[in-house]
Amino acid sequence: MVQAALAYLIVALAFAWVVWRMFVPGKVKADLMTRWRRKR
Amino acid sequence: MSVEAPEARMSVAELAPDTTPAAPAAALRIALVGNPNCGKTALFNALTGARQKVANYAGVTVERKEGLAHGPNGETLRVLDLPGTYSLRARSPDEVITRDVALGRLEGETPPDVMICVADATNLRLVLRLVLELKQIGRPMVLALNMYDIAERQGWSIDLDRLSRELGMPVVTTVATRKRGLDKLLVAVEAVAGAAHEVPAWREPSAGELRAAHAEAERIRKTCIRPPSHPDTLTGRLDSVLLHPVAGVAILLTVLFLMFQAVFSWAQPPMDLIKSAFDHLSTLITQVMPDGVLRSLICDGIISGVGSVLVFVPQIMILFLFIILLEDSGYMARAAFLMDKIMGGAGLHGRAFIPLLSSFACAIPGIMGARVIDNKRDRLTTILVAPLMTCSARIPVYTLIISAFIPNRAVWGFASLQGLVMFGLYATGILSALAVGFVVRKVFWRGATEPFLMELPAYKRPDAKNVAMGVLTRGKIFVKRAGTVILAMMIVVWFLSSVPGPPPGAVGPAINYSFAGMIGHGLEPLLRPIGFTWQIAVALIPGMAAREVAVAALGTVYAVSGGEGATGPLAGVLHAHWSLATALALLAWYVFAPQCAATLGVIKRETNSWTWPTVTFFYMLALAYAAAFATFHIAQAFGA
Repeated sequence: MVQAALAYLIVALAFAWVVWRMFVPGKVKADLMTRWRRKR
Repeated sequence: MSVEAPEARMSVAELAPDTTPAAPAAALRIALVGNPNCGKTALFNALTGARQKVANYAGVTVERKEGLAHGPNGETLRVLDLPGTYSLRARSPDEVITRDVALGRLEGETPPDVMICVADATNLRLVLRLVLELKQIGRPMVLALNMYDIAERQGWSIDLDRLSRELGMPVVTTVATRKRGLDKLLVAVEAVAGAAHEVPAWREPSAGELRAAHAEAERIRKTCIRPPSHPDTLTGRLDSVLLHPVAGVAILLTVLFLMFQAVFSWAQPPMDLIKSAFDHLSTLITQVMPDGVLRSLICDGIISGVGSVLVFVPQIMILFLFIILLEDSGYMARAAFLMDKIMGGAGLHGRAFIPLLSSFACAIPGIMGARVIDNKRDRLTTILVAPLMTCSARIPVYTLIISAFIPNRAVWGFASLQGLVMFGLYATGILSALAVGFVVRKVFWRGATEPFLMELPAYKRPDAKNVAMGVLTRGKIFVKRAGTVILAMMIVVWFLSSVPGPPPGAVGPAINYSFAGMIGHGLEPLLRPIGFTWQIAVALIPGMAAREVAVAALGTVYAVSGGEGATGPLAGVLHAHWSLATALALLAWYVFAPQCAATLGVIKRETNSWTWPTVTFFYMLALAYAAAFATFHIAQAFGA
C-alpha cells in the first residue's frame, strides 16, 4: 500500500514537471516565478 | 513558382535574453568588442570564470553574454561579451546587437561605461579600422592585444607606446587562455572609466569615410607594427594541401570517416561498463525490494529507461572530442571553405556552414547561429535545414539500432561495418539538408546567393583545457537531460504502460491493456505501412520531447511488456522483436523526423512566427514518412 502510494506520488510529480516544462509558456513561467520570489 | 520570403520580425531585445547574475546597480559595465575570432569569449571566460563556448573560427558568439568579474580592488564589474564584427555598419542580426550595445541603443540595456576592443595581436590589419570607428562613439576605451604570446613567437614587433599614442587609448597585451595580462587590463579599464567624456551623436559612416578610416588604420599599422622577418609559412604549406579542390575534399572525407570509426570502436569498453553497472543496480533492487508497484517503477521505468540512454554518453563524448579538436585547430574553417562550392550549388549561403556544423551537436545553437547570415532568405533557408543535420540526440537511436541489427564485422579488411553505416546516416542527413536547401532556394525563393567571405584562422595547437571542458560540458548536458526530461518522461511512460492493469482472466502481456497499449494500437494502422510496431508508436510519442527519449521509452515499454525475449540488453530485445526492414525504416525515419519540441520552439523564437516551426514540422514529417515507407518496402523486397 505504502509502495503504491509512493509510486503514484512520484508519477504525479513527474506529470506535473513535464506539463510545467513542456506546456506552460516561458512568459507565464517567468511571471509565476517572479511572483513566487516576491512572496518569499 | 516563387514565394515571397517573409520578414523575420526579430527584435534585438528578443535575441538578447538577460540571464545575468545579480550585481550592484552601480557596478562598472564593460563591453568586449572586436573582430570575429580574436578571443573575446576566451577573455570573457578568463575575466568572469564563465564557460562559454570558444572555437578557432568566426561566428561562435551570436548573442550578448553577461558575467561578473572583480576589479583590482575587489569591486564588482559587469562584463558583456558581444558577437564579433568588422564594422559598426551592421548587416546581420548578431552585428546589430554589437552595434546597438556599443551605441547604447539596445532596449533595456544600460550603455557600457568602458569598451575593451579585443584584437588578435597576430592580425591587426582589420581591427585598427574598427578601433577608429569605435572611437567615434566617444566612450572610454582600452585596446587589448590578445594572443600576444603567439605574436611574439611568430616574431611580430609592436610598438605598444606609439600605438597607444596614435590611437589615444591604453593598449594592454593579454593571453586570455592563460589568464595573462588580466590585472593590467582591469587597471587600465578603471583608469579610463573615470575620465570625462562626451558621447557625440553617431551616424553611419559613408563609403568615403570608411575608406579614409581604412587609410588611417593602414598608416598606424605601418608606423607601429613590424611583421616578422621570417614569416610563418606552416599555415600556407598546410593550406596548399588541405584546401586543394581534390586532395582537400578527400582528406575531409577521410577525417570524418575515421571519426565515426573511432566513435564505435573506442566507446565499446566504457559502454559495456555502464551497461553492466545498470544491470547490477537493477538486480540489487530486485533482491532488496519486495515485488510491487514501486519496484516496477524503479526497475522497469527508471533504470531500464534512463539507463538505456546513459549508455551512450561515451559515444557522444568521443564524437565531441573529435569535433572540438578540429574546431580548435582551425581545420573546421577550412572545411567551411571546401564545402562552400557544394553548398552554394545547393543554394545555401557559405556562412550557413558554421550554423550547420553546430547542428551536429544540437539544432538549437545551429538555428541561433544562423544570425550570422545577413540575408533573410538565406537565414530562413538555413533555419529550415538545420534540424536535418544529425544532432547528438539521434546518436542513441542510431547506435541502438545499428548495434542490434548490423553485424560488427570488418569490411575491406580495416573498416567496421557499424561505423560505415553510422557514417552513411550522417552523410544522408547532410545530403538531405543540401537537397532541401536546393528546393527552397532554387524553386521557392529564387535569387542569387551572396558571395561568402570568411577569414581563415591560423592553425593552432588545440588548448587541452578548452578541449577537456568542451567534452565534459557535452557529457554533462546529456547526463542532465537524462536526469531531468528523460527521467520524468520515463516515469510517465511507465505509468501509461502499467495502468490500467489487465482485466481478470486476461491473456497476453499487461501492457496490451494499458493506456500506452491503447495509444500504440490506435496509432498502429497509421504506422503499419512503414513497418512500425505498436511499441514503436508508443515510443514515438514521448520521443516528441527529444529524440533520445524514444530509446528510453522502448527500454521501458519492453521491460514492462515482459515475456520471452524482453529481458537483457535492449539491442538484443529489439533484435528478437523486429525485422531488419523495420529497423532500417526506423533509421530512415529518424534521419528526417521532426521529433524535438525545443527545436521547433527555438525556430518560433528566431523567426517570431508560428509559420516556420509549422512548416518545418510538416515537411520533416512528410519526408520521414516517405523515407521510412520507401526503406521498409525496398528492404522487404530484398528479403530483409
